[in-house]
Amino acid sequence: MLYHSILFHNNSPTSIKQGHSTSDFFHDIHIHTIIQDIVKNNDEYDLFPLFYNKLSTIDAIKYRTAIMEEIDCLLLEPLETFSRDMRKVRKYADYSKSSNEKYQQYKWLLDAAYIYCFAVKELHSSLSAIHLQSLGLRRFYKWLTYYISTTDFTMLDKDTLALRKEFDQIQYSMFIEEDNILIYPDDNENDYCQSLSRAFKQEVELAGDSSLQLFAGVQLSEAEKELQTILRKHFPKPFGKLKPYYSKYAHFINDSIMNFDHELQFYIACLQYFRTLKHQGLRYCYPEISNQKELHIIAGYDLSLATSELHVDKKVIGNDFTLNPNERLCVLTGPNQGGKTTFARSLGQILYLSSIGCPVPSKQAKVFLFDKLFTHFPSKEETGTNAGKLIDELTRLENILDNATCDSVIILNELFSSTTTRDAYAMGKKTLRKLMRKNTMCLYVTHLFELAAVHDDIVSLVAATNTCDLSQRTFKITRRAADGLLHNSTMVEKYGLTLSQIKERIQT
Amino acid sequence: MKPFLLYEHHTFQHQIQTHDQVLMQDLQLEPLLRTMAQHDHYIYKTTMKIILHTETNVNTLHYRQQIIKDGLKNPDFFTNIYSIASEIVAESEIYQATMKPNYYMTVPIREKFKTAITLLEVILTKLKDLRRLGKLNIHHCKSKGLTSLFNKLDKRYPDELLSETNAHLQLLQQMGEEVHLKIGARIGDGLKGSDFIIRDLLAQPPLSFRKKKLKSSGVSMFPNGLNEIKETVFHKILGIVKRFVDECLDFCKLLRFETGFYVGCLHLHHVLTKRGFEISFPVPESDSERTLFYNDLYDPVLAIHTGIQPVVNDLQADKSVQFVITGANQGGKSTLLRSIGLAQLMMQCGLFVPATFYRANLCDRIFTHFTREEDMHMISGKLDEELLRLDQIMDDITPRSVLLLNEPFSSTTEREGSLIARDILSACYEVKLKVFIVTHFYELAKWAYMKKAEHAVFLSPERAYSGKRTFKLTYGEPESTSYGEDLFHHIIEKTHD
Repeated sequence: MLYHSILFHNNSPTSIKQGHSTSDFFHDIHIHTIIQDIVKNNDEYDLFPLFYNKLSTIDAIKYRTAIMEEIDCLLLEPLETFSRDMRKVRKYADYSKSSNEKYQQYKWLLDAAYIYCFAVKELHSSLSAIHLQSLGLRRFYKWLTYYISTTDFTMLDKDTLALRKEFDQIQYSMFIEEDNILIYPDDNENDYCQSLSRAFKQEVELAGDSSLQLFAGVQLSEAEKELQTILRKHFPKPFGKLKPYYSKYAHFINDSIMNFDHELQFYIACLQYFRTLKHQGLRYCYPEISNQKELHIIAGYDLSLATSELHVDKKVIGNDFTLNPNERLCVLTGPNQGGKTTFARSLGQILYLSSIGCPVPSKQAKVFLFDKLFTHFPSKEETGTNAGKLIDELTRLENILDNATCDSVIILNELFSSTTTRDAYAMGKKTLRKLMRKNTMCLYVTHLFELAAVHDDIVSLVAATNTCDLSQRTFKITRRAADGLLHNSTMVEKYGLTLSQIKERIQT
Repeated sequence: MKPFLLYEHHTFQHQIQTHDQVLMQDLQLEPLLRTMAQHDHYIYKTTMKIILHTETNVNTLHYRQQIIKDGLKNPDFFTNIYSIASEIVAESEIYQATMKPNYYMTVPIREKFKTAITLLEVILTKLKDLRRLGKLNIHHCKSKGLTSLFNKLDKRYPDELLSETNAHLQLLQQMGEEVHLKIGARIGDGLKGSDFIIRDLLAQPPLSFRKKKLKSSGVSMFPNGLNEIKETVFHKILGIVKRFVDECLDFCKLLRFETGFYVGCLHLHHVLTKRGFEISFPVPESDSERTLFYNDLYDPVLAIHTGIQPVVNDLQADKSVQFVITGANQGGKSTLLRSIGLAQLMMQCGLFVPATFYRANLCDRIFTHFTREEDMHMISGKLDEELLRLDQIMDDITPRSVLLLNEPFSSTTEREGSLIARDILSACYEVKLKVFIVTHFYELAKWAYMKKAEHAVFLSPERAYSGKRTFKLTYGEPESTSYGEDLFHHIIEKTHD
């Protein structure tokens, strides 16, 4: 029976590109940073390619989302445990290879197999406990049930448990004096630390573990080797069984189990990332995806802003956004620092993350399948003359306009900011007309509010404060005609000691 | 375990407030604190923190008053507890230096171990003393704070603990000299030893086994490994001893802090009463009330300083929030303002007050804005500074605070100063913030008086029938003529006599 991938529904990862993609949007909408955040605890698995390759069919996306959602609901903890155990199995197997002492080599392998058998059986029983829904996990469960019934596995399990038990029963003790030590092949259950703690009436929880940490490292030191030689004389039977065990089971790890563990990391990394956000009060959801070219987002937010350290303790403003099937072109205007860029980023993130089968940063989301995502954000690193900058900008824009199809999404943020207002308006107008004709979905962010009125079919969005207090930047993106009447100013009174000021200050 | 002598259920949390220094200076707290400390610098710092804290819970103040009353009956008891706590803290000096993280690495483990064991011996002895002290005195005590403290001590450090730990102490002292221990072990992952557990501190292998093995490979092996094992064992046991010692030290530090405050209170009581100055325990009211009643209130700092009974004042002011004090220079106005501030502070740390009767609502904090003498001479440019100080006060003040203003805005003209002060008084009156203002601005006082505000009180110097000034302040309409005139006459007459 064959193992079936839990990442690709057709079992064939069609040409996964290695390394990081260089498309602009990864940088512009901060997908780079987000991906780094997601995989930072799982770097041993090389998950990057999975995050940089979007899926091209709705079925492929749904296959992943279904698995992700099922794990999120019921299985994250047991799967995390499994993957932790597997990491330990691999670690012990490595120790076995690198050990310079043959008995230790055998024993590490035995211990690796011991954890392996336990983890595989635990995994099977956690999966048995629930009625699996997703196609991917159902397929895997079927395969796993088959695997644990093979003689390969049952023999391994039986032999491993038996030999491990013999070692676990060995007891010995060491008599320590100022300048010598003596090994005695028996022991009792006294615990001096405990009895001292008890005499002091210390709370048991605080007393902690009374065992000593001796002989650090995974290799055996000279002293430990001597110790082992003595022990081998005292307990010849179990030590004698190690070698035959080792030659029989040197390659006990099943490839498909390894494969599953690897693929699983995609889900675990995503869910750990989003669950951390949830603890900070940030919602995430599983997007509904269709071919209908419409968008419906409730309380979407910018992941990179919400997770940045500068933003700790600040409230994250979520924005709702709806785009009906006949609407293609949106122009977003508003004051500087008004959350325009943040909004543009959050939209890009929601679209992209949904295309790789991840949860998205919003309360609810309905998205569509796009073929390519294009972005153009002003970059601070660009130096050179204004003319050079404009040429560069136009080249990039041309590239976008040439390659975008009616299934693409384009996010343009403050184009032509290096030119005069007059030029920027004229060029912006032409760009918008071009986009209109192409019928590509586009978010056009600009501080030139006049551009929102260039065409009747343009959806005008405005970033504006929704409270009277101008000092509080609680910007919301709303659909309305751009009016340009937006300015920020705060007034500061010198000592704040007028009648009304004092009254207010005393009472707050 | 915590002593909980300042609060029934928690410890004192010191917070430095921006206004503390100003309050110290304006109310002249320092001489009062020095009297309480009686040359003990630790008590000085302790009482300062607690007095400046202005506790706002009525029950807590009663809790402390009860403890002080117990202390007044048996001052030695308190002093003894304080000494024991202080001695333990003093004895721990070497230990604490040794255990400091940056120093810790440089000291050999055995030395650290011995230091800890030495301190442990001291602690066990002192704890016995403390419990004996409790047994002898506690039945005289009525306060909840003291009785529950000694109950807790009996529970945490019962006789059997003290005797059992004594037995361990001997064993540990012996171990500091020579090692003879037994460690149990199992075989762990990758043949690494595991579950190393100390079985016995004084152990010998079975004799037959020992004889047999002495000649074989079992003895005298791996000297490096041996050292590592011994050090780990010392660390492990030190960890347990340290936990006990540190817990006890934490307790003693708190006990020293809390009893230090009460010893300070007893000192103050002794100094005041031996000269016949009267004191009483105040009646705190809720901070939602606005009330102030006092009889024979005097300035304790003046009393301590001069050694003779200062002028006393009376007041009955229910629901009042605005107190305007006017009148001649040298009329006892500032002294009264300070007495009120001090009495309020003393009440709000649980102390007795310098009056035969004192009842007032509790306040969040006391704020003072005094025109200092040095300010009086520098007229221009000082208004800015005065406003800045008020601005800082306004940052922290609440409607449940008390604001003491002494000659505010005397750095500017009467007209301008009165106008600024009017806004402040009106605002405070509206939010029911208690304000005491001493002013020589007749314009301001007149304006306040004419408003006939229901909850305002006006005080001015009493004039005896003889026309002589008594330094007492009584109810009265502000007068435009200053008594400076008759002070002048008085002094000039005298010099002319």
